[in-house]
Amino acid sequence: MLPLEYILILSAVLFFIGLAGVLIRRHVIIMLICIEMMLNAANINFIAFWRYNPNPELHLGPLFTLFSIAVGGAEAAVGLGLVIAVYRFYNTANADKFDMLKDS
Amino acid sequence: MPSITFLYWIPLLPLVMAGLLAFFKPNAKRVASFLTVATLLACFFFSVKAYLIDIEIEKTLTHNFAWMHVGGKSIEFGVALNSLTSSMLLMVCFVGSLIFIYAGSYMQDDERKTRFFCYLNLFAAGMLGIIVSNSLLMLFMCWEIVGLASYLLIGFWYHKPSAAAAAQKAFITTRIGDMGFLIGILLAFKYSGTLLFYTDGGTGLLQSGILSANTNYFCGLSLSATVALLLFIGAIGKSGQLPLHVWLPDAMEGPTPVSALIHAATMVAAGVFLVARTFVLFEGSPCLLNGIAWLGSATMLFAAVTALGQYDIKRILAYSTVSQLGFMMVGLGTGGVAFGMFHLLTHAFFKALLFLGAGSLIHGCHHEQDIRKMGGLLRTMPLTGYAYLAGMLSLCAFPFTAGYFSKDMILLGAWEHNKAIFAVVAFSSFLTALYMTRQCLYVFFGNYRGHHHPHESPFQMILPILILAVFAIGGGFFAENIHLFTFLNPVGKHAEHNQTVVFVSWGVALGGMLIGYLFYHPIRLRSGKDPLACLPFGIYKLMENRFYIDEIYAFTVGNIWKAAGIVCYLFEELLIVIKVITEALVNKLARLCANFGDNTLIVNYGFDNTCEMIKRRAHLVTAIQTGQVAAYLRITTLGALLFVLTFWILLKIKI
Repeated sequence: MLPLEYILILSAVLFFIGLAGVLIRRHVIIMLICIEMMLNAANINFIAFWRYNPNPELHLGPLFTLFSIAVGGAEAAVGLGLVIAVYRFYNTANADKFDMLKDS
Repeated sequence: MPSITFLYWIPLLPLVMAGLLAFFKPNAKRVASFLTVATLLACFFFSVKAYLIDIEIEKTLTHNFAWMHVGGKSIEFGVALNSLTSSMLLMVCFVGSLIFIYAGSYMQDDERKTRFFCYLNLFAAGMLGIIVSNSLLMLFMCWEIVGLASYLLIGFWYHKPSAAAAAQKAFITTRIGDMGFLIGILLAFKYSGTLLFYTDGGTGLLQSGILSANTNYFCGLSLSATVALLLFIGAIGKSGQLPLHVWLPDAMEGPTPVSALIHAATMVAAGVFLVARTFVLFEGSPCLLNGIAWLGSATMLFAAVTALGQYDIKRILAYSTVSQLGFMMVGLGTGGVAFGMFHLLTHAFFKALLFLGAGSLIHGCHHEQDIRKMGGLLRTMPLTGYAYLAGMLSLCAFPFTAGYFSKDMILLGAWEHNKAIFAVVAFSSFLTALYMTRQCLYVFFGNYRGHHHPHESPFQMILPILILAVFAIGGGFFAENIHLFTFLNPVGKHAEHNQTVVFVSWGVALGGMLIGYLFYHPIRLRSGKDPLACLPFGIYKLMENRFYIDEIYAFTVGNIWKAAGIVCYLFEELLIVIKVITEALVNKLARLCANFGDNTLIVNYGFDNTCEMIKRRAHLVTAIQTGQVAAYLRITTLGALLFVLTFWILLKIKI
């Protein structure tokens, strides 16, 4: 069986790609996609730790993952709704242009 | 027993190719179309191999593996090979490769050509996956991939608002059917514990009869009939039966090769294929089969009438597709697997031909789709024209074309099953001949009524059309030669040859064309007014507007959602009112407190001066406050990283 570390490295890499995407990219939808990627990195961890723990008959890992996927779906729906609302307000999807938090 | 693991390659090859093409630059010249055609030809090679194995060994071959184990049950995937699989595989790969060749020329000038072929490959992967799948869940997954690819391809020219809207409509409408499909899968899994169709041990969903044991599960339907009904709801959505047919005509907003491949030849037939695959579940319930036959005939009649009132060349063909899919359902409901599947296979050839021909016509007329602005094109585009007429003859079931053989079978099945259904189907066939004659007279005869100069299309587009034309005319003889009908249906019932049915079949096809010719004679078309417009009670207006089904949906379903939106909006308003009241109260309280305090001394001198001082000294820090969310996010992340780093270092030092 593949050592656990490899899977953890995969998930870490996925997580940091997502994080870098959120930080560097300006397009809001890409940022949302990257957030989903980070979420999936966490899901991989759930599954990996479940698979390698001494008692895999307890289906906690898949259950947690299923739960987190459902929450992720809800989050994506809310996120897209927000993106559309923000887009209608600013007429752009460029996150750098969202600067009304500052008291001009 | 030969190994059939090579069947996995059939969906996997296009899938891998789709992944590869996603990384190509969007306007790579000819590479994308070449690779796509090569992939599908490789799949065709595998299909031929599958067919050869299949005719050698007559029973169903399977190969299964467990995908995952959950709580003592396992979910299994696999491939199955029987006559249904191999015939469908050959058709999809053959028609698919021809359409891909055509698409290479049709989409030549598009900037996102590679992306287009990437989506086409994704579609091919899903479609071939549906066909080879031996597991209900795997079939469902591929079914959804196909739905996604269809969405992406209808909306391929997403800058057109109509295309974007049509893509969403297609996706959402089919989703309603998929809901039923998914519930059916869950129900089947709950009671049988397996999702495989066939296994070597005979424990599969379709072999063991495990579901038909429960005879009264839901409203008098047995369990297997309930599952079958739910699966059929999925088929209704995908195959555009009433009342979920609305997405299919709108789907014609996509590029024409897409309409030919997905919305005429293969994907929309997936619903019919699903019913054929799980036909064992349907078999036990005559009531359900009757319902399918009636729904199919109603769809067929409705779509044929609507097609008579349309002017967009692709829309006429779209309604014709809906109508023919209804016809296949009649075949499944009245006769059995072979009746529906035989027509599915012949229909794929001549409908793909008609769509490719229509694409060539549209291309030649400089993107004009209105048949009133065409005319006399047989002279300017002879090759496309004659091929198109071949497809039209086949669709009208002109004697001894491919369509004639399969249509005859379904008519025979309907005659033996129920005379009323037979009457509806025969009348719809008459209408089919009528509207195709109308379209062809509008497009190919008389004088040209447009403003451009029509020209013949390039060779790469003509070649697939001509090959398909050969099959549309001669496919029937070919099918008779290899005993396709018996091949598809080794044990089921066979229709007896019947003089009356043959007479009716010839009568409706020839009569429809003759009446169509008299009615839409080119001289009568010169006035620019459709000869049917004189029908009483505004029936023609009703046909022209597609019986206002879209408007009815907008009024009912649309308004329900609007009402839900208003409720949400009111809730939000309520929250805002509460917020305003709270704010006002807090303000009032603050004022009250401030009046009691020592205004002059503490606030004015002490507090204000301190604030001023801080403000003057704080330029450095306030520069960080840019107001940009993204910038805040970066700083927050940096902070978190620093925190983790410090923590780590501290831990290290301690150790």
